[in-house]
Amino acid sequence: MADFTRFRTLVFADPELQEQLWNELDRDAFVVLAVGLAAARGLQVTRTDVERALETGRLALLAR
Amino acid sequence: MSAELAGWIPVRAYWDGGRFMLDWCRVGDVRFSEPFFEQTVRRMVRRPFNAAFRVQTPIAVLDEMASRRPGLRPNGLIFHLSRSGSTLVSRMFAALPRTLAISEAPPIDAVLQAARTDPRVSDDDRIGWLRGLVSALGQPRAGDEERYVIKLDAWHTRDLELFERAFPGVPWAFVYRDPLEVLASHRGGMSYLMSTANAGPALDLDAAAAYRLEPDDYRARVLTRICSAVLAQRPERARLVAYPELPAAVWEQLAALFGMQLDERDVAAMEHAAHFDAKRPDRIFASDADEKRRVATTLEGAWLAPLRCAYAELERVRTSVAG
Repeated sequence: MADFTRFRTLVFADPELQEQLWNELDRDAFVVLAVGLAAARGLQVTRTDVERALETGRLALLAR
Repeated sequence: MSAELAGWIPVRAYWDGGRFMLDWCRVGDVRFSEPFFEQTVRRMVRRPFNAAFRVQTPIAVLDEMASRRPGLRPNGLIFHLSRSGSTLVSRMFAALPRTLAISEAPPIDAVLQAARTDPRVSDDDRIGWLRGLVSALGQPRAGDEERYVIKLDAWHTRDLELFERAFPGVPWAFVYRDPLEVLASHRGGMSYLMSTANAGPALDLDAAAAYRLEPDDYRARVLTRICSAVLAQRPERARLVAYPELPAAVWEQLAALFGMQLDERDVAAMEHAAHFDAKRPDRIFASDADEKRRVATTLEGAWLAPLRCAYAELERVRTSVAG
């Protein structure tokens, strides 16, 4: 999970990386893309990390 | 964090551990094409990116953002009695090119209600937050927006004075219809406005007290409160728009009030938008006014008297200004 936090920091610092991820609308494809983009930057982000972040964020945003 | 939030908008405002916070979504250049802000937000939340990289900030971040990138100044504010055509008005403005129309954004309501959770929140706090939110929501996204209209929730008329302090000189309109027809419409189904769970912002009542009232009585009190708040705010300075004046009043009166110069294509775009059901824009608009008037004639009770008085006064002001 620490690598997901680092990946998140990279995403917010890199508009092109952010755009690439934002444009992916399919959930499964997004997970694969995020894992791959993180790996390309030397980070070990797992599918579980991304799926957990997706579900936590979705519930939080819809709950309010 | 604020420097990284270009292309993001605040979509939720809420208390969290004693701090007033915002949730953000990245919207890019997406237009607010749905009738209500919340519908656009839900579309944005479905994007995996916004869920996976959820951003929370304290609301104070809005100050820095507004000073760094002030959004559009609102051309006008639209208040309403509910079920009176205000969504149509908002849709007609949204149909104009280079125009941003925000309709009933929940973060604005959350800011207005913030002091209910923490009484230490002052009017100055709410004004500062409101200005920051309106600036953040009014960021040009397609790049060419120059007009900005905000439609509020029905119960926000009680905060009219706060809006006038927050946005001095910004004109506002109040859209309404015969309140008996509005009551008839609300009889047809539960709404957020008329839920007794929301008796606090609607009437300063607790839910238990509200629940003890007859439903029509409760609804009539809510509508009376909305109208009374408008009448208390010297509506001669604003524009009162009655339902039968729609849709023409939008291009004939409101556009000028909001400082917009319309050409023939603009008017045609507004007329086109008015052909469709404002809340279900995939359907052609079909008037149900006759049915509402029929139900309205069946309403009776002493609780109607204050509402009838408020409506008569609104009509007196509207027709005297028009005349």
